[in-house]
Amino acid sequence: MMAETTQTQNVDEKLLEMIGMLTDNMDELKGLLDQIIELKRSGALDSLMLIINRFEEIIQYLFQEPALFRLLSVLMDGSLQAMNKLDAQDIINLKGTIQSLGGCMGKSLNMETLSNAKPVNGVFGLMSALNDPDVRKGLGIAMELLRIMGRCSKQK
Amino acid sequence: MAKKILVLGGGVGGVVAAKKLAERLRGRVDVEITIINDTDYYLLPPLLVNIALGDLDPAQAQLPLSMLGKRGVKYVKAVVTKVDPENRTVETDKGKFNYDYLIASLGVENDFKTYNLGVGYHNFSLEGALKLKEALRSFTGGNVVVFTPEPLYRCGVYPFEIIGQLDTIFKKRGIRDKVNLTLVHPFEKPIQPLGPEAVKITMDVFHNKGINYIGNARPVEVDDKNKTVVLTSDKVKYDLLIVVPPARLPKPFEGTSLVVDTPMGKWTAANVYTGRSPKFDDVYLPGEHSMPVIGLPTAGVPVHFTALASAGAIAGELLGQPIDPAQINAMTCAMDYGELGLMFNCDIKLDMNNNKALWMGSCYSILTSPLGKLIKDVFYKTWLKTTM
Repeated sequence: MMAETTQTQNVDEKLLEMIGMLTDNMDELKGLLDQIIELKRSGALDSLMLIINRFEEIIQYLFQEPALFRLLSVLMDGSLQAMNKLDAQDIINLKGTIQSLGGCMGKSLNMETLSNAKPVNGVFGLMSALNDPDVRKGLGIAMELLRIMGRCSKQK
Repeated sequence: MAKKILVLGGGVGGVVAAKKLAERLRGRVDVEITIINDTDYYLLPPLLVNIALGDLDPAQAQLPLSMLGKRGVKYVKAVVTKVDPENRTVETDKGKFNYDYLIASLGVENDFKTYNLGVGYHNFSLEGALKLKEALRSFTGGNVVVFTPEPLYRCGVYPFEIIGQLDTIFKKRGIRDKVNLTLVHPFEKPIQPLGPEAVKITMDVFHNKGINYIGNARPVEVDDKNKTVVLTSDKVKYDLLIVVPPARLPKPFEGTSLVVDTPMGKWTAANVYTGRSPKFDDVYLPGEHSMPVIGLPTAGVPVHFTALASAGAIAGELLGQPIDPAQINAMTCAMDYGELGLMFNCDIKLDMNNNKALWMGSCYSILTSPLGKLIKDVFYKTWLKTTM
């Protein structure tokens, strides 16, 4: 009888504590409820629930197809390790190169330009192509890239 | 009459299989699924290290097995003492159970007796993790030795992780300069089965953290009177000893015809694709106790997918549907080296002729970054929360 009374008191105390907590945090709870309703209406909550409910299946698909992991290894881990070898100035220079060269090439490169490219026929064709200063400059850059690649390939 | 499916073990393999079977079969086939485990909770073993290092409360690493009740899976708390496939029965301390299908995933027996490992701390059980937590909390300096006497133990990357994590913890506590960290291990180079890239990263981490690695170690015993790990070629003094117990065959399988002799000891035999016993077509063994035979590591990820494959095979058979085994072609391992997190993937090729999963030497890093720690944390916690 005594034990039952103590148990009832404990339950009542817990209930009072919970009601107190709800009252103290009424504004936050209302805000949270609004956000949950918004998430539900937007469909985001359903997408999240789908991911959670199918987590096991997602992992299974991932583990049955190593291609994604291979891609992550080459692109993500490979690039991250390369980035770790650079210092701040290298990053600024590299970013500048990508911005200038990438921007210009992105604007100039398209299928129309490529499909209209004139074929270089034989040695005379090559000599004729070398009359173009842009081709001469491009070849110079290619030579410089080859020199850098040769130098870097010696390093471990 | 309902088909009786008995699942032994409330760890990763047992729980994953029970859930999958219930999902596939309930309402479609007259079936009774029962899971037997010696505790009334499911505990995700990789989170034991988080408990030992004080990052996680035990309650956050476990789920009550009664949760499977919502899927119609009956749970019995009992200690399995013997598996008897010839008579389709399982003996427990609560009596005998018979079955039409058996899925046994009983993990491994951690051997603390050989080498006198019982005198060291460990986190291969909840109780062990809590004791290690206290020992680390009161440790103020000296020689910490992580002793791994044999190459086959639960979770192959664990010793390499814990030693790195200890460095970080002692740094945070400001006592790193008073601590010597040593890892004693049978591999010549750290984490060798994962291949040269993993070895190089780990050796660099150990070098930067000032961790001593004693490889190729041939163990004799732990001499607790002199607080020394005795090797055939060396003696390593310790003030705090953390041990990694060798994995052995669980006792309920001992002396049964489910077991085969291998160069790595006696283990249960199973089909690499389905986890099915080659001798009994109503017995599936997707537990760590079968991993050495099929060439996979004694760890949660391969057990998880072998259990899914076993459940898929039974469900397919009962439903009269094609069997869709869920075995994997890749196995990812997330590691926490303290400040650094790593994710390694190993491509797996199933060699059906030799019943082996080939993966050694096919591993590569997919992330080497502090972000890897976070991914590991999120992965394991989501894995736990979505298990049942």
